[in-house]
Amino acid sequence: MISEKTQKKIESIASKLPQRAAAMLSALRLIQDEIGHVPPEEREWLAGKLGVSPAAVEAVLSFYTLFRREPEGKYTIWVCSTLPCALRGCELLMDHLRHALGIREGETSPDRRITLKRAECLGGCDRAPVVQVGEDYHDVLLDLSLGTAKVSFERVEALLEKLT
Amino acid sequence: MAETVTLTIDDRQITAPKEMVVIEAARRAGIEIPYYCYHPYLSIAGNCRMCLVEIEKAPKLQIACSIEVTEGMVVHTGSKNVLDARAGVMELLLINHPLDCPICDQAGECRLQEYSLAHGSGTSRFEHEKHHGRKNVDLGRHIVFDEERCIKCTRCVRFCDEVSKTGELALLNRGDETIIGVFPGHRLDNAYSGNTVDICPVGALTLKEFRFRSRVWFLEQTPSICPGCARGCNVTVWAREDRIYRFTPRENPEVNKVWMCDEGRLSYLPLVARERLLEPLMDGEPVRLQDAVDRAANLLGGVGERAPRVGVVASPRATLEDLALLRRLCEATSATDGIPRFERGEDDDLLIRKDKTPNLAGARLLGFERPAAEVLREAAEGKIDVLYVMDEDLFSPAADSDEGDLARRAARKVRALIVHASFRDRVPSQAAVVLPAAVYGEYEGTYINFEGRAQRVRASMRRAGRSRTHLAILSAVAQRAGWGEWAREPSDVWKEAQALAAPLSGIGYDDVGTDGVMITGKGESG
Repeated sequence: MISEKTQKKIESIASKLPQRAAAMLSALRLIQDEIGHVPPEEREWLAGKLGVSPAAVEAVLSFYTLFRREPEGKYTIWVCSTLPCALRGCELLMDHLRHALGIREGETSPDRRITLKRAECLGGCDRAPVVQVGEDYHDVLLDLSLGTAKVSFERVEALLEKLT
Repeated sequence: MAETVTLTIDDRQITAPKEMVVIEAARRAGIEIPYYCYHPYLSIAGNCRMCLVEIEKAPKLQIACSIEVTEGMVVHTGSKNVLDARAGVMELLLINHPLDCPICDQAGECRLQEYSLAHGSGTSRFEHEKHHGRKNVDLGRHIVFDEERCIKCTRCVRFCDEVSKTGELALLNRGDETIIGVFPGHRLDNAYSGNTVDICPVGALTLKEFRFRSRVWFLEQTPSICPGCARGCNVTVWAREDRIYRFTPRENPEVNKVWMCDEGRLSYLPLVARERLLEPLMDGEPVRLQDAVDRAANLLGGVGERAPRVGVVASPRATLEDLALLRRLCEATSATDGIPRFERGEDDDLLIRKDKTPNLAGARLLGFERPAAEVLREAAEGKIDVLYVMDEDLFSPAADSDEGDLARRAARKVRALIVHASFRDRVPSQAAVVLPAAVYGEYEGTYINFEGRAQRVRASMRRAGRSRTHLAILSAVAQRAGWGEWAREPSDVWKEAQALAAPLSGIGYDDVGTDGVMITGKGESG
């Protein structure tokens, strides 16, 4: 269960709004920030708190892709796959990460350390192909020096080693 | 009278109450605008886009389900723009629809199918793989869900939010992955869940108890009344070859709107499952009907000091007409009488009544007021010679009151027990005469609900075996007992009921009609 502090915070948001249910998005964010995802027990608790059905919470939670219904790894690597990143070889990067981690897209490594996900435009086109971990961008994971895109093993390994 | 406005729909001048939506105004004027998500008893969602119409001076097409009528509004429901829009909506709805009509239970009563014929193009331009969903999802006790047939109209979601107020359903996920679903681990289990099947415009939600039992076009529909409780929800009985396949609610704004509870919806199942009594019995042995009637008449008859002390237990499940003749039998035999209660659970604030019988108010109107237990106690104490019981369920071991126990004691004590019975399972072995009675669906007559509304129950099947209606049995007994010729047609017996119950005066049998009629002397008293 979430901390008393977060519970109080959610209550204070809900009590300020004309309709308590309007606190849904803020509350889900607070829960996810604390736990890392929004587990079923917290969804039901929130439904009671906001005076809606558990199904209504599920509807909001499942609509937004950045809310997590399942626990993810300690770090989530988002690989951007929109046009500039696609042109600059994000698929090579994705392939390499899959092999390095031994998992498929959307999965979490067995040691629960890293989750690998595909993202639409992360807004880092100037350094395509871009990867986001937490709040940070990581770029230039490809070696483009020979004119053909090639994954830079060293740089990817360096990134993965940082994520402990 | 509410304020009205005048508008033009398809060159016709129409007057409609202010604040009415265009689709409803058109419908009442006999102009059909196609729709999926609109439902007169639910909130407006406006998501299916099928009811787009052209309104002059509006910059683009408007959905007729959410736009209110205004003075001087000019609406076109059949212009080229409108027809193009409908064809477009149909094309989009069918992109991911499996088109599995040949194995779909909704076929024959599916809006997608009907509108596809009326407004669709007949071919698809979509060349890619359809988005597939799960089929045969066990959503609740009575409900099966087919994800890929669903068009996301959200009628079922709104029903659970607004009518049953249980909120089990929601639209989950997003885009072409959107589905109707429940919270993880929850189920669509409420007392009214079957209504979601009725309002589902496609074959996404189906009822476990009906799916794959019959194509709907083979079933004959009879307007009738649900026998499941004292509410008397208006229903359509769907039957074929002397068997009921389903009940669906029939609109009556005064009684049940367009809903009914699951228990009532499935109240026909025992009629199919329980073994019928198909012939008269005397001391447990099958006999000719005439012999059984003779014996009953003899037992009740007698003269002078030899006249037996008769006790009668009426049934709140019998029709008003049945009970009128039973009242005459009471008078002819100077019987003491009573009526059992079949109660379970509590009244809720939607439809369900704890009185699980359809006509207790009718019985009270005809003077059947005393609790059956009093008559049965007298019988068990040897103060009654002949006990005449109209409903064998009185002896049911399931009867939660002590009535069942008393009834069985009374059966052992009295000199003779005469029973009208429809099923074999509860007939007490001591019965001297058992007369096979028609069941719900085999007779016509009148029920009076707890609010005092007389409603017409109609036959949709032939009587099974050598069973007879209560009316036929009672008038045959009367004739053999020398009490004269009693009417046996419900419409004729109605006149007798009028003579017995003042509140019925001035109301003809046919006045009861399809929507029922309020009886001024209210039957309910606790």
